[in-house]
Amino acid sequence: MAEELITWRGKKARRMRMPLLLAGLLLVGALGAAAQKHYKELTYPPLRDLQVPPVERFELANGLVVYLVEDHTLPEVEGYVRVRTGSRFEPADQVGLASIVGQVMRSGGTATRPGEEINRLLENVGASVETSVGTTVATASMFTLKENLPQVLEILADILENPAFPEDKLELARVQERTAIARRNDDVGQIANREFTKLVYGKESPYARQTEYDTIRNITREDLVAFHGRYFHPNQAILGLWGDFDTAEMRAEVERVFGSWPRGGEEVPPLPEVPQEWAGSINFIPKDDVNQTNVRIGHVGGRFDDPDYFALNVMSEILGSGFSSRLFRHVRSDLGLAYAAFGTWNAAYDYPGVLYLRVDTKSETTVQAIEAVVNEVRRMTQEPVSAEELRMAKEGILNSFVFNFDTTGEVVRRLMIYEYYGYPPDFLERFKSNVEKVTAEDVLWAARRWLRPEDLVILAVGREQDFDQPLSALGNVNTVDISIPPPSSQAAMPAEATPESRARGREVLERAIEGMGGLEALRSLRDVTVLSKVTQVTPQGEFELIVKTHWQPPVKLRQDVVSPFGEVSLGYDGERAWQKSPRGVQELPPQQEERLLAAMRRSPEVLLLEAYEGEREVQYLESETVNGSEADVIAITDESGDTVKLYVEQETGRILKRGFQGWSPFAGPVYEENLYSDFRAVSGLTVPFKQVTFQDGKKASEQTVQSYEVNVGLDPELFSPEVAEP
Amino acid sequence: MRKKILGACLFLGLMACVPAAAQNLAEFEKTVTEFTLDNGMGFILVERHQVPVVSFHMYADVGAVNEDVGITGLAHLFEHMAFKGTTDIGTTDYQKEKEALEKVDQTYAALQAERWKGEEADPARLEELEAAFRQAQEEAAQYVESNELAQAIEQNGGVGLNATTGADATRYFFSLPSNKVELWFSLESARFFAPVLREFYRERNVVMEERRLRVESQPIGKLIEEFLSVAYRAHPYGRSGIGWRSDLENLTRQHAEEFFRLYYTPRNLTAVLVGDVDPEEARRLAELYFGRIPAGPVAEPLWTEEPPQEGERRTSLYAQSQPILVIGYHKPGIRDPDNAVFDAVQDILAGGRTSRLYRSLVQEKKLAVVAGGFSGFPGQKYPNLFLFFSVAAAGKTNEENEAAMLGEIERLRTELVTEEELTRAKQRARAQLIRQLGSNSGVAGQLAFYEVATGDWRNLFRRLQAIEQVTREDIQRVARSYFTEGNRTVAYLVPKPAEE
Repeated sequence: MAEELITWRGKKARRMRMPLLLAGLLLVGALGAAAQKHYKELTYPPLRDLQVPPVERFELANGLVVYLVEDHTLPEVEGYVRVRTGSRFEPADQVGLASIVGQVMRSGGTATRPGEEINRLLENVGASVETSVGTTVATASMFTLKENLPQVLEILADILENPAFPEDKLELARVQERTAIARRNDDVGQIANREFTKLVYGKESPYARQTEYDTIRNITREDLVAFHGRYFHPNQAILGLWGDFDTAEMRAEVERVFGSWPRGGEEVPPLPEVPQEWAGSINFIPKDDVNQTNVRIGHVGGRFDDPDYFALNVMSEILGSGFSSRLFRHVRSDLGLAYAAFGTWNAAYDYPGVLYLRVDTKSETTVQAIEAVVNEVRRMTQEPVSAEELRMAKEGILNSFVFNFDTTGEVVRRLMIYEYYGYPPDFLERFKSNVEKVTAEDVLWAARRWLRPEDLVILAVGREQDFDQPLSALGNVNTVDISIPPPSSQAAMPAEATPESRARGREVLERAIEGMGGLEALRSLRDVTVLSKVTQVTPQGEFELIVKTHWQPPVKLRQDVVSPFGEVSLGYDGERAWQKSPRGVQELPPQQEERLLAAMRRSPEVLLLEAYEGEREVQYLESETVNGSEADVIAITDESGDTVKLYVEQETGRILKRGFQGWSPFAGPVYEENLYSDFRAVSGLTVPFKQVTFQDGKKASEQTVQSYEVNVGLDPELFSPEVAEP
Repeated sequence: MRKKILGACLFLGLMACVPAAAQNLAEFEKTVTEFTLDNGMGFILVERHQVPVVSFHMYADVGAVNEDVGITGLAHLFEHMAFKGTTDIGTTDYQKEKEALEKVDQTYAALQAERWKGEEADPARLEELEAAFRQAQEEAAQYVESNELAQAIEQNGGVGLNATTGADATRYFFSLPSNKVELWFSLESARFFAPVLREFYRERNVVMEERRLRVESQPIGKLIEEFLSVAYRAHPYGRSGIGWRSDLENLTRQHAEEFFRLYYTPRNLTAVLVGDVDPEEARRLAELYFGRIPAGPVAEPLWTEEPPQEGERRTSLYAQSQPILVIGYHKPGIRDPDNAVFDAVQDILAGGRTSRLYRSLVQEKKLAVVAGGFSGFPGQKYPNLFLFFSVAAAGKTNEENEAAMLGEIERLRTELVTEEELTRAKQRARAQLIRQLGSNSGVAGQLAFYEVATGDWRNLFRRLQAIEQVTREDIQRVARSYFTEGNRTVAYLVPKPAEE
């Protein structure tokens, strides 16, 4: 066998280099009855022939392609289905649709068998049927003990053909999806992989885009039904079964169970384009709570059917796969820079894959590790790989070839995959013979053609203040914003303001200004000093805060907070936002500073004046009852698009409620609503002494004002952290 | 002791008489050969000749529990070192390398001595010693053939090469085409016969990166470390398996060599081979290659027992992450007769879509996206924990999850589980076993575990009979004795109020 031939050649080459000492040992070993052999002295018999079980392929009248393979090792039957669809065909404003179809097909049960009944039927006999829809395919898998096969096969067919998609299981899937969104920035490795893929393919690409609160909300039961109806048909599907059965009997059984599935559906749409553009970039995502930088490096790659793929596969082994690779040896073993240091040429079947290199290193060696990896990519394109490396990589691939056949399941699944993507059934054998032919020149040629060391997308996620050098040492750095876009629906803004809604909004605005004390009182407001008691509701329970606020509109601020955990001050002096605790003074990170400023700019006093001056757009939305009073709702929007809704009491012009897209340290982006009451007159202004805050409909805090003073003439120094609380 | 060769298959030719469906113990036993070498090392061979491949699993009965305070992380670091080669693998000139390595040890000892002076350490002297240490490492490095051992395996078609270190055990495994069985004997015996712990301090850095990856940069990793350290007062199950950072920073090559000498003795090693293997030939090779390892010392057993917990313990960890809840109850080790009852409890509470925790917390109350539990954490050899966990759904709290979780646990105490649930647990156990038998490497790992942890690999199968015997009353009894408030440890991962 060819595989053995190569091994033998390898042995011969090594034996020639064998030191004399070892050769001597070998001789002694040969004379003595038995001696332990150094691995280099071992010779192996040829591997005995592999008996690949016969595969039966046929097509039902309705177009379903079926693969059957008998395997009597264990009393079980397994199944696998591929259906021609994928999330790459879902609409951009419904990202998540395909995945939810995959979940709810199974969890929701069928027209005749509710999900819970299917759960019981399957699990009571230790069987399983699972479905999912990925980027390029929908799959189902099945496992059952032999004795329960007919029933389990029927359930599989029923789920594929007649899913019920009940509303409650759709809602369960939405909860899961929303939670995944809320949690997607918890794990640094997950952040790095996701954002790297977006950087490589473009964030709107169907191969990279991600679910958002809005895209999940846009998905209805009708969409699930339509998606299923469009793609799930026997003429778009391949079924494989293997295990302890008789092929002829199983063929009849498949006819019985799947024969009535009607043909239908449409061809899948054309595949989305992947732009073959190489624009290197250095990207950074700040993550404060880690001491290790996650680095991803690469660019758009190629397909399995590229003629260069075989050479690239060998290159990939040498560059970054396994213990012998250059990345493992140089970056992990020699430099000790990382636990994870590897890279692969990740080809795909029908669209360009990706060159993916990864190194996770302590913050203090970030730039060093990036340079080490980039150098290895560059070196690949500069000089041929050594004969030794080439030999080792090829032997590794070829000697392990038998493991492509070590379970029946993988043999069947592979044939189904090849058929699905239109590859020849003997693609794996062709791969083997092509790899055998790869030379060092082929690897260099392929590397020069496909690797772009000067156009690498580099992404680092970590704590930049601890890096050995700033990332900018590598070039211009693009900071990636991974903040999670809040759901936009709750703000419910009409797309376009009309002249009427603007005019009516203006009327309400003027009434609100009167309700607060009039234009003059607002314009002469210089500063505000408020002492209040706040009850904060957190995931850990409720606790009380005493908050003293000094505010000079629009944005100078100082807040001194006494909490059960100690005293904290917070402020903005017009230039920088700061926080002061017993541990010292810290400047707030840009994101937090932005949120602090946005919060002040949303205060009704500022909103009303700026809208009045025409700096913000105002429009009337509707009227609504707030706490039993009729209120007109206006939306005030600034240049950035940030919109605040004010609910202005019709009778008094008082602002009863405010709603806007806010931020919770516990839940991230939330829709925040403040209910105002207990209005009192303070030096010509009418202000609420009580404020209850809800975030996403849940109570978040309650604030009671103890004292409220205006225009006391605040010392400007107060807004810098150096001054102690007065 | 275990020298009996089972079955008459050997004499009839290999292929002919391997049973088609060896899913019950009697059938499976016919495919098994087991023996113990004179030095105490145990072997289990399972013949499966369908495909010409063999999976190897070396199970060392040593883990993080064998570490003392001060050297936590050593078992795992040694596992890394076991890939560094021997006196004639991984080196270009061992004699010179040996001297160079001694120099590394000496310079490191001198550096440590100066560092330990703390405030009084002389900065200039420190710098000098650091330079000497670096220099010594570079000198030793010139004799290193990097990763030769692993390369030899990969190049010969080895797949799935890896190793893991747990609280109880360290496992080394891979698979080869079956014509290369002798390669495993040669390499695997060499690395436990004459290992050379080269590149120790560099590998220590790699392990520190692993710690950063798995624990320090992972909210869940941090939470588990915190949780275990609160749940245990005395037993080493409470310590960080990957090692406390300061311990890792002070581990030396001498520590690792001493650990190897004491624990990597043949009597602590069990090898399982599953696949296209000829038992006669394998036995000959076992004697030849592993027989050369001397029996070595007998390590003292771990005698520290965890004192009974007498009151609920609670802890929390602040992290930039959404909430996660972990609850643990102390329970006996795997050899306890009630172990099968805990297995049934695990299935009823946490196995699949019909399980109580999934149905209640995930599906109905929508409090969690994942809710589960398992019996036997962080190890199984010694009394351990039954662990429950839930990952809160967006907008839901740990408190809500805890209340619902405790409600389900309480229900086990107050009412009997249904017949259907218990029957299902038994049925699923059987199906799972058959499913596990599908993979050579999976079987190898399971047999090794049962052989060492329970004293007989057959318990992999007998476990089914034990579960079969469990009654609804057993479940209630066990829940009442172990799932008590005073025996409980609760840990919250609390979203860090980082902002505003």
